[in-house]
Amino acid sequence: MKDILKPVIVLASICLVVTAMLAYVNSLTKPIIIKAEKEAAAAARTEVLHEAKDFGSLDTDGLPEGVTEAYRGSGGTGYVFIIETKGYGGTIKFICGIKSDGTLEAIKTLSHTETSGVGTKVVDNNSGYRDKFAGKNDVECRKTDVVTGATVSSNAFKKAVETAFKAYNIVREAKA
Amino acid sequence: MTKLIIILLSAVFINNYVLSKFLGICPFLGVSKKLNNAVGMSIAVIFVMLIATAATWPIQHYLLDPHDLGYLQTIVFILVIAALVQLVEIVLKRYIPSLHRSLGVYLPLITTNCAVLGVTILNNSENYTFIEAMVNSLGSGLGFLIAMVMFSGVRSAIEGNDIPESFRGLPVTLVAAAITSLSFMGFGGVIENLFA
Amino acid sequence: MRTVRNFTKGIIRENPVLVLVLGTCPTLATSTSVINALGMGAAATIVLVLSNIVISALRKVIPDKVRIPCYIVLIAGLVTAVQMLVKAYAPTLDESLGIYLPLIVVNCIILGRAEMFASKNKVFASAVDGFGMGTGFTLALFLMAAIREVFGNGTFCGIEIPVLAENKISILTMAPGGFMVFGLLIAVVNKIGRHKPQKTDFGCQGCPQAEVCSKIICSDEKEAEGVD
Repeated sequence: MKDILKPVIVLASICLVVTAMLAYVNSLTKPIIIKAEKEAAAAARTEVLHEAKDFGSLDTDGLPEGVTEAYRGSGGTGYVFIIETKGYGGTIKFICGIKSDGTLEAIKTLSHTETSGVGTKVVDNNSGYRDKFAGKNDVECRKTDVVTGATVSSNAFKKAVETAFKAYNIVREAKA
Repeated sequence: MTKLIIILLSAVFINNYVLSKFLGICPFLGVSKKLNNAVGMSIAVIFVMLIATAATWPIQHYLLDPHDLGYLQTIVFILVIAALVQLVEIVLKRYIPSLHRSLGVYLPLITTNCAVLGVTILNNSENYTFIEAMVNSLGSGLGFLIAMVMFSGVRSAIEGNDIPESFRGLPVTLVAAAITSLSFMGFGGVIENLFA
Repeated sequence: MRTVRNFTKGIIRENPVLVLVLGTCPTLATSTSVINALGMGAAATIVLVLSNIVISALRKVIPDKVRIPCYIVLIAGLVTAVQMLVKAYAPTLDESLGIYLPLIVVNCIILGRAEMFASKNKVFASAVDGFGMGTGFTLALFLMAAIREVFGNGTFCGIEIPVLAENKISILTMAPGGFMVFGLLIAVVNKIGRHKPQKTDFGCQGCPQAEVCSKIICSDEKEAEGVD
């Protein structure tokens, strides 16, 4: 009897102690993680729309599919959208700032799982691909070339830009 | 439907677990010497990946997420996988002994195989639906199979050649793996253009 | 003296990556940049030291029958705790290590040391062993990452190196480069150390699954010998 009971008790108590320890560590780190995420999100917004000092969150109902968050920059500076599109290795998350004159200020990849060395030629923030869109309007952005060998990633990128402009037109009309 | 096909094909070829994500390298190097072992191990991996996904997806979505217990993911998943593998072994031994004879040896190896734990965690971080998660697991397993089969062929070609002494054993195997992995990168362009 | 030897064996003679060939997955995956490699090494070392301490302290309590599940639970708990701390205090590292951080759980080095050393030795010796093995792991990762980053990306820790930055060998940072550099490094270690190439060409002695694994590989070898 003891031979059966002891292993069970030991294993169960180890599980219990470990879970309790994790719950404790979680309670310590969770507020810090949430705060860091918020700060990172705020920094990313300012990066793609630097003129805005403050951002107001917008309802994403009625916006095109793929838009997960939308913000209005203070003082009529423009809008920031967070967009998810399907790339090659999975979902790519972008943040895109469009100024009130209808040009794209900057677009940035927030997270991706594209193939290293192939899709990253497009989605890596240092790859230079995103610079091709900066300062252009809707029509000009559509004409941007795709990167050879990384067509799906490029198209996912272009679709994100297109979606951002669609969302931009909707929120601007809604305001007017 | 297209989405499922894309998930399947990219799991098999582009994000191949072994050759581009470096998951499951131990069995890849250890059990790929002979074709029948390579195939046996891979089929066991596909099988365990599928049941592990079928078990962990509901746990994550109906048990951990609603109660804000996401941080217990790793510990719960690894225990579930270990328990499942044990269970499968017992069931196979009892009811399908012929299958147990051919796959049984590989099962204990899979418990701590990072490809299986990896696929269950990635299914969750990719926010796949249940069907998508199952398709992704199937694709990952098939990718493992293809990599193993290809590589066992490559290894049999190395066997019996005159190799510099310090390269014998693992180093030459790794160099061969590098070339196999290089050939897989070629798939990238092909499949991308199928859907472009 | 024994303490020193306990520490240094992990770095050179029994280097977990280059000699014992354990933990290959994270070695290949996170050695694309020096920063990632050091982060991964540090995280694994912390887990390794703590898990060795805890398992050694509990070695008389844990029944033999359930020892592997017990070790796995303890290690998974420590890994999760480290993961949460990294997420809180070094979010960029968490992002670049991604899935490989939780996968420390199934890193053979950690389970292997628990089984081979911590379950049989005193707490202090186990801690030293863990630290030595962790340092060896980190050094091997650093070496690989340095080669891959300097020649593959023309940078070191993100700082550009003139000449090399204009002549990158990008393939080194991709998957094939990982296998290649790892293979060449082990060959160099074999040459310098004048190690006799190991009988089993895959060194899983430290792995708790060695028993099963070697069964498969040995049967291979026996058959091969029979054919000869």
